[in-house]
Amino acid sequence: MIEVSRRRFLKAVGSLPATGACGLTGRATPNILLIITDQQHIDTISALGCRYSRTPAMDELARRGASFHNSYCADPVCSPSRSAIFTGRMPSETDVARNGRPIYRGIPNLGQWFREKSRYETYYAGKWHLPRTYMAEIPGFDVLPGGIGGQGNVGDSCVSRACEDFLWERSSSRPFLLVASFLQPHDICEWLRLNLRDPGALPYPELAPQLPELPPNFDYEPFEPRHLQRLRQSNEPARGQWSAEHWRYYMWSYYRHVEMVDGEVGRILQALEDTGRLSDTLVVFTSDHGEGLARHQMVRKSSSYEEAVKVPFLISWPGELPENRQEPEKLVSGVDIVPTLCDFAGIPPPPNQRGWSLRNALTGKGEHPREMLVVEIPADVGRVVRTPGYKYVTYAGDTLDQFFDMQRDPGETHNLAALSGVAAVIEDHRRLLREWEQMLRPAPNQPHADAWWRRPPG
Amino acid sequence: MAQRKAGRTVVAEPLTPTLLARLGALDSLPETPPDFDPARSWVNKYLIFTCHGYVESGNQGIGVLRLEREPEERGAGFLFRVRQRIVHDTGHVHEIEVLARCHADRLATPIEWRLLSRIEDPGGRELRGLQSEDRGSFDAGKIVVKRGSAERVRPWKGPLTSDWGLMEAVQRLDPGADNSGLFSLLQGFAVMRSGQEIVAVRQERVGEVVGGPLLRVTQIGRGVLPYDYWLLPGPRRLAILTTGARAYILDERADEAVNRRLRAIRARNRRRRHD
Repeated sequence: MIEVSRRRFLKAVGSLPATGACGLTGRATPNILLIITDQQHIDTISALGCRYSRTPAMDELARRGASFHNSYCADPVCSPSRSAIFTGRMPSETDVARNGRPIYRGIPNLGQWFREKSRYETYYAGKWHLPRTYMAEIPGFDVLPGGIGGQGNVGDSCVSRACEDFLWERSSSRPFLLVASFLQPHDICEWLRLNLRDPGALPYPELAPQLPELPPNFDYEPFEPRHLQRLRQSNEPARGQWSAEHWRYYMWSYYRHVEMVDGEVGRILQALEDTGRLSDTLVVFTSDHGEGLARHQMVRKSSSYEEAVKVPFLISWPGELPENRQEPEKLVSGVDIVPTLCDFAGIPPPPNQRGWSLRNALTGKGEHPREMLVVEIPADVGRVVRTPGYKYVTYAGDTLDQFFDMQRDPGETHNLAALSGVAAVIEDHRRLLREWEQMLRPAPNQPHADAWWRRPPG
Repeated sequence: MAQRKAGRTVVAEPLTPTLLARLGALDSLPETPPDFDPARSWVNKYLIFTCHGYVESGNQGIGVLRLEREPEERGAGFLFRVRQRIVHDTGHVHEIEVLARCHADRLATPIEWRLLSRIEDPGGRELRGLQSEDRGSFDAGKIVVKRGSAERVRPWKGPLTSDWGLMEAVQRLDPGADNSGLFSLLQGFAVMRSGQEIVAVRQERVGEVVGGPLLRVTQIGRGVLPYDYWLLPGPRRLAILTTGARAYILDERADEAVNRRLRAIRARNRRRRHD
């Protein structure tokens, strides 16, 4: 049966994250460096077991701190996920259910909140996408400019150099919050359009020995929600009728994109070290959403499968937090970032947070309250409910749900939704979702209000 | 086999000189001086062109890369000047200038370099706090990079080049020789990319645009998509470089294209201020 206790879940939902009243461990509050990549599959970091990429910078971050393996974005597409990362609220609340929308008025972003409540100086470099991809002015932040839409291969080096220069030139004694937001490995989207046509032979025959194997869940169940079928059919592999070799060439190329951004991350980490800030800086590393990477024959994002909704999540503060720690089970969401950073900064989080501080999970001093999380699907068309053992997926207007036993079937290859033996467990997940949705404060005019049992906006 | 998606045509094939011509990015190449010799003094100026993957939109010149080679009066090396200006989406311009001394060997191995980086706002004013100067050297098994009074030493064994240096070196490459062998690449004189290799050198016809076959040199490695260097076979001048969604196209008028982008962004910024 389902492991979630209704009483504990409701208690957790109703409580605010724990916050320190002052700085931690008697030390000054740390500088905070939040590094965000774009469209990074969770299994791409070599130190965490990826055989196909070499990521020395991300490896170093993993060694210096904790890696959460059950980490999810709030929505598997850029702007909605970023709105959750920077507000701690769900995309249906921030009014960013689609790309290219601003955060709903009245909801503070991380920079605005830090400026209002703390002594932190706040800076932003790179992709924002709320609403525009790159902006010269972002509320709550001083912007370190740089970035070119669709071309992380060019723009990301300006982002890392600006962050380097910032760290080298900085003389203020006040703590800083610096966001370094890279576009890579999102350039895989351009790669897909440039390689839609399967040429029938490997364009670079010399790569043949290096091509990754197709994943075990490359094949998929034919009975899927319509959204997932449409997504697959609209993407390049189906339109280009890719061979297995072209799929593997795509995977090889994707890992190179990850290595590209790893190099830029390494520059910032090196600058932290060179300027003597390593031990005074909390570093959080994550991505806005994942990448299909041939799982279920998917590319890009927007789906409810693990490859799209899971993201890397690393957090470190040398000397203050345990090093080289793996967290294979604890559920983490993008909405946990704001309360976590507020907690470490010694300030209360903004009101109506949907996540929890990870400080207890990191220090081992107390319980991590999260026992379930919800992922919204872009344009508000679907929901994922993830509990420690299971995953429930439902789409508005579709009678076909999905239900996976994540312990026995982490690749999501056997949909159990039609089995009578799990009906009660599924109903438990529906109840959790209903209670979650009724707690939210959706922005006006969100679609599918009936499907998600919404209360009226207010 | 271009395909339509949301009213736009997906290019559906990798960047090559032929595709660049079809996208309107390449109508001709500048005249190469008759006495062009890759081992002597020369200047190559490239338009940095990016493709969004659609035929109709998102394809643009975003920057200029100027490479200048000058043999040292004494010694077997050469001076290498690099100037790169890239216009970012907000209208900020990131400029990098490098003066390097390199060996005139197979990889243009860097000996020492000085890199200046600065960012200008859309009005052309340099942003304070976002300038830097790095001085580096590679000798006796170590790479030393200095910034201000700080010095970082990194032990390094094995062949080393830079991405810009390789654009010089491929022009001196002997197509008939064995060009295999792993090397590392110091990208932008900042990020190490290991496991690089020249894997193929071949003559390829690329349509009528450049008036004949080009010599195509392919490099693969960690942290990069494959690089294809397209050289004019006679003078061995690097005409085009393609990698992923990016191309470098030999173009004397590259500054004009980039200034056009800058003017368009400034106009857009003005409109947004008035909205």
